[in-house]
Amino acid sequence: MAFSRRDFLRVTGAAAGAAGVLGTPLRLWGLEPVAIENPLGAYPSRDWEKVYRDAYRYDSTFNWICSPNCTHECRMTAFVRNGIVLRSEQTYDCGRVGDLYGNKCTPNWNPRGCSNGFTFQRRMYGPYRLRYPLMRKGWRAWADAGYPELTPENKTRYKFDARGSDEFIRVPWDDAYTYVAKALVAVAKRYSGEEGKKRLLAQGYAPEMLEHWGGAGTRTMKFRGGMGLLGVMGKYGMYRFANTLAFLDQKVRGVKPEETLAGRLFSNYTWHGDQAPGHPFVHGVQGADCDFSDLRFTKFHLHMGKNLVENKRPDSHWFIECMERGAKIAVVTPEYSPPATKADYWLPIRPATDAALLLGISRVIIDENRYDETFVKRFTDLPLLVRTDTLKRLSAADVIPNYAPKDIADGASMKIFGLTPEQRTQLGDYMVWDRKTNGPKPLTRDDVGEKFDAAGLDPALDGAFSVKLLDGSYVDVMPLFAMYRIHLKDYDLATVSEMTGVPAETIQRLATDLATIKPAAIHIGEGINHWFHATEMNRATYLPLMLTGNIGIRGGGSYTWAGNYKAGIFQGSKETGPGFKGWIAEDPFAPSLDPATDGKDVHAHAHTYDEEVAYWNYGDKPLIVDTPKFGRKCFTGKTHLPTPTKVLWYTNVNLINNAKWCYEMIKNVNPNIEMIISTDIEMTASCEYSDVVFAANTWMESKQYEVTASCSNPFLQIWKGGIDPIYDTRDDLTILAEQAAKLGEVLEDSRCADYWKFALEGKGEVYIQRLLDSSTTLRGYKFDDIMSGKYGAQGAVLILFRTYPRIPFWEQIHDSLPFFTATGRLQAYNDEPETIEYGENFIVHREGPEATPYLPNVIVSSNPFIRPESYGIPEEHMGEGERQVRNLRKPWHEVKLTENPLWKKGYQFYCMTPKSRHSTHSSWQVTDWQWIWNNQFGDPYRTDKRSPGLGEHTLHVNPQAARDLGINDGDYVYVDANPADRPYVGWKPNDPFYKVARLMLRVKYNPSYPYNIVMMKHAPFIATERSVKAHETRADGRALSENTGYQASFRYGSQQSITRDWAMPMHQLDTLFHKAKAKTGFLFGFEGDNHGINTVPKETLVKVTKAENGGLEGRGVWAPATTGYTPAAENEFMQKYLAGGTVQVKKPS
Amino acid sequence: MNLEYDPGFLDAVVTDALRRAEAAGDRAAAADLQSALEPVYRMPAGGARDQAFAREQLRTFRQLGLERAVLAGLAEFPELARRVDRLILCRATTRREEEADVLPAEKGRAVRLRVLPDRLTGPAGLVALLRVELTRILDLLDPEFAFVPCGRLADRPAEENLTRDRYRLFWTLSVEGRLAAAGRGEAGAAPRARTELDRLYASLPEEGRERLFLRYWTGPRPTHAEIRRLARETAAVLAAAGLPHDYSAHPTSGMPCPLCRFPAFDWAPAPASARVVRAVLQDFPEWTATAGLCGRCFELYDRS
Repeated sequence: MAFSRRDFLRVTGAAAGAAGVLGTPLRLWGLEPVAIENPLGAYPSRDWEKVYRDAYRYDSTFNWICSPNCTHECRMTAFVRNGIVLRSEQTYDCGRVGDLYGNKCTPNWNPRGCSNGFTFQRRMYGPYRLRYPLMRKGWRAWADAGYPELTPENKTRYKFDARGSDEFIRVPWDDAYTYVAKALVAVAKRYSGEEGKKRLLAQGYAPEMLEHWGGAGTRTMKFRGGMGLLGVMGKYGMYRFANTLAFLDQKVRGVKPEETLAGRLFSNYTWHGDQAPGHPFVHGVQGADCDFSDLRFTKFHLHMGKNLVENKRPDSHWFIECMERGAKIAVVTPEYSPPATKADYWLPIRPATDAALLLGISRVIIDENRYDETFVKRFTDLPLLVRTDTLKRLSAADVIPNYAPKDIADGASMKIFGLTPEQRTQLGDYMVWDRKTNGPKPLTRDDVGEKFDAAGLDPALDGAFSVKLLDGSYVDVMPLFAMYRIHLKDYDLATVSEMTGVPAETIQRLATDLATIKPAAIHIGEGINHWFHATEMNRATYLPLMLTGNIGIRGGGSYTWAGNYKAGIFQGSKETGPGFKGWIAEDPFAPSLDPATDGKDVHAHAHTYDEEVAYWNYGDKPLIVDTPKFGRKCFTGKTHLPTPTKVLWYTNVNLINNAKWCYEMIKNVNPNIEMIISTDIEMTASCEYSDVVFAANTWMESKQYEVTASCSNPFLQIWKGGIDPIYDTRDDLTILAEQAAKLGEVLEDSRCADYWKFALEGKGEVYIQRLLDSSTTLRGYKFDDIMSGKYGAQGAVLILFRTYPRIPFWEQIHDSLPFFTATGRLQAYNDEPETIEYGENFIVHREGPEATPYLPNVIVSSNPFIRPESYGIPEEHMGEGERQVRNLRKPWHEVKLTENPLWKKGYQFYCMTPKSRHSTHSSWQVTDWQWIWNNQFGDPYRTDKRSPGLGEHTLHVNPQAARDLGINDGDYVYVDANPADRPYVGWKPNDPFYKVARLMLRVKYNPSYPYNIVMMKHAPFIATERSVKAHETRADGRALSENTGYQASFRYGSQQSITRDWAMPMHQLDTLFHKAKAKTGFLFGFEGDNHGINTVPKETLVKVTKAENGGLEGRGVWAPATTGYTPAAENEFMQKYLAGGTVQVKKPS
Repeated sequence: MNLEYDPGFLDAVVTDALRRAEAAGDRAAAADLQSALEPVYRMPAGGARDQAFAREQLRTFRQLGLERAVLAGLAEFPELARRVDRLILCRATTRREEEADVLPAEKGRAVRLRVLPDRLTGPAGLVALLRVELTRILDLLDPEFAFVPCGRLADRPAEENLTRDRYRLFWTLSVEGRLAAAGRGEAGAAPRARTELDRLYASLPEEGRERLFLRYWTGPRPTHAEIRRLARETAAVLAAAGLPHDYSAHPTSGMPCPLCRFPAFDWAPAPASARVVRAVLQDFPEWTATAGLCGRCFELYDRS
């Protein structure tokens, strides 16, 4: 029966009328019961309910991989209706994924996916999407004028010095490719040969920067496939493009193929500060990380500078699960962090003093005899003898006449790990003091574990000995262990407590737990790696684990977690072929054009050379300091040296936005670059400050197959998009291939296109198959099988690791294989000449060069076996270069009396910049929902028109510290760093760019943070000239750029206003021996992402001053801070609630 | 002059009035309106239905006597009817939104008055607001006031807010002062205005602020140009306050730094050393030491 509204009203009216008759106000208790026979009978038609059910109807689904730089690579299922992706869900199929041998994955990996994946379509369809290629007007005019040399006049005429105020125009793809190709030719010609050299030197580049230039203009071209593991074809393919330039060099210089020099490969992992730079020093490997599922097996979990609650989002449950299995958790962070709330105890540490803490713990372990002597002797360098005169390890060749190194050709080092005979000769063998024979005995690098046992030695850990050298003289030597006893005298509990701020009894507690609970694991993150002396902190995490045998076992180890870097998964070997190198560095002069070629037979030849982005970021120069003692000295190792930057092309990375010291780059460095190209899916600041922008397909739209893997899970995944591209966009891989083909057209050389043959034909899977064939971890898999779901789930397989979960150094401990260091053992000591010179041969605590209240960069030690070189630089000199290289050693009781001049001037806040749980670095920063959630000021209505958008970037401040500065909760503040060079060198108040670069943001009271520590999340979208102009001229005040449609997270400035690039000497050694990242082999010195400068944005001190009142439109206090429910302003009820006073517990009688 | 009501405003006022009546036990008007709206709900969605709703709301609005306060207020401003063709009452959502605007003339001159609904139904009352806002409207329409729409008042949002507040202050002083002189001022208006002046000009001495207050509360009405100048230029304020042009006011918290133009609460200690003054003058020849500089700028020049 139809039920009209009249009837409905009549019913309710009757009820109300009854109340009226009663003469009382309408109250529920006054209602008379109303007789209704069948409420559903009188109910209106229920057809409308179908609308709700249909909201979730879909026409089709497809699986895709959400692949930002979070390391997870979650498989999602997208639901499509009318060709539009409505939503995505987690696939929930992990338990089905298997490997070649029938092993299956634990289903406990499910579910995988987070709020970023769920909202990805909001980015894809969102307002910031790049829709077609763009070109900067001024750059195009420069190109049309024939790509003239960038004189100061031309820089201004064509706005190379004012990219931020230029205009972008849409260009067809072919035009974009043609302009770019011709620019590459022009730049290559301009900077090749003697004329090129003269130009570069005249432009002021250091002569050292020509070391790897080699006469080729192509060597001024830098390419970055942004976190290439996120899309090996399209992202790492950028390096293949760089290798393509071998043809360009051949054309320009007329050299033979084997003499050609191609572009430079910008690093990824180290550029973000993601690497633990100390890892290669200790075990020889780029980075040690386990499968996340191993976290649940630990019985003692130590969390240092890491946040596994907010980050590692789909996989952080593994951390929590160890609690369910009876593990104990301790957390070391300066603030009372989210992981600290889960911990059994928290160590509130002064930032960047973690090395001191771990040294103190190691001392306790040694003093209390809680170390595992057997493990120490079998697997570490602690028994090896060290010369007290040179501080070098005693070599067998020093003492044994006519010493011939033992033949280890059949040992793991040479047979499996690729140690060459030359390297073997160079490294030599080491010596221990054998207690059985009471004399020195040699050990090879293969003599570890059972092989050490077989040698029948009993090395002394203590003592001092005199050894006769070949020239007849005697030298005092000591086992490293004995030297460490002396070294650790500076790290007693009371001193460490003073240095770190952690109570002595808590340090003792941690030492006891590490010593007595097994397995024990230490997990670190950017809270360690983003500091200048991360190397020491990284090395220090291994010391207690080396002493207690917590390496290479399930649930044990020291692991670093940051970006998704592990190209080494595609490990090449002589058995399987070139691996990763077969894709990025296939020999362009001998490409395999037969699609059936086995990847093993691909010939790799890299005409490229790696380079750390940090040199561009340092001002496009190496670290050169004028020292009083030695004059002008270059501290950048030869193998590391950069070349001048004239072309910069990056994909899938917000390079300029995330550059430390980004405003310095924009203002003073990038005007010298002749072409900047950004490939991306959204308009970012990196696009705004580019010359050419290529608009890419998203993960849901890609037409060609893409492949990804992870450093934190065992899945190899292949996918392509499920919907057609929405706009005039192309796959990353296609862009690279088409650009290469166009370059070939311009050069009249078809080999460029040949090199990309299968990508141009839309058959990128040919390259994927070759990658599988030639990698030790994937050989045997077939692309077609993977995509058919043969191994359990379509598009996914388990990577062939030794164990599931993957545990680093399992083979070393269980199969007695050597580590990848010079000694073949875990190293607590390094004796490279530079390391000794820098005073870091021992693991030691150093204060930072900026972020310290004390003398910058001082080595805290009285150890006579640390003999650093100060280069004659006086203590009071505070130039940035001088601070970085000066090595002074002082004991703590002297250090604590010193004062950092910057600290004295009032820069007394450390500034932490961790990752937000709502974004993945800069991705999703301004996506609407994420922006509303990731701060306390999210407001979709933008009630306060000062807000740059839907949210506000936020500085978390200790409430008392804020009050002492006259800052209220919610106020706007300025955050300023060292005025010598922040926000950029040469800033002046009347420079319009200063207005863009000075950081202003909102404050939030946060009692989790200690007094001298502030925090803001990293990688928000910086303010640019266009966004600031928009903020100041738009009626709604939104920081939304005209012309580009770029949305800034800030009104002014950015997180990078307070950071700068540093050039850590310890990251630039030529003599560090370590494993190559993507092949079974070793090298000395530099390799991108492996041993090179790891940028360190936390190395700063800041001042915070009030800018504006937080109340609406600048009047009074921000309203939520007046409710009585906010930190440090709690009303009586709130205080009672926090104290537990609103709950009464009755105990049963 | 046509008096119009925005449908949303009527709906909000009538709903509030009926709610209050029901709470007091009187449902008659609510029932009457419900009955009248019954056939309207059955009409197809569109213009005719919306008009019918508005008609019934207006009828109830008048029936409840809610229009009386509006008409009484308007009656005090006969001049308005001669200068304005339409007066439209709309709904404000916050107290700060309550104000009158002259709308761009499409069909005749129109004024929009935004009012919180509870002004007509609650104790706050409409009269005081009408008096202030309609006086402003008459100022805007008076050729002698010489109002010129000026978009932004300052270069940056923070400065914009401060300048706008100052413009509002001086104008309010004049409007409220004239109303007070005519015996139509609201109780408490003078102390409120004085408090606001003290807040915005805390750097001036007490006697200067007193002169400023009296000048604009009791003196002749300033023109728009004069108010704008006062809001933007410290020199104009000093002159109006009878203070010397080189009066060394300690820079006020929140004022823009004369060098970087960022609003500052952290000012460099005065006087700056001769070395710093020399360094600043090299980049800013027009600067005087009495203008001060913020802490950040001071740091830069102190290093020079």
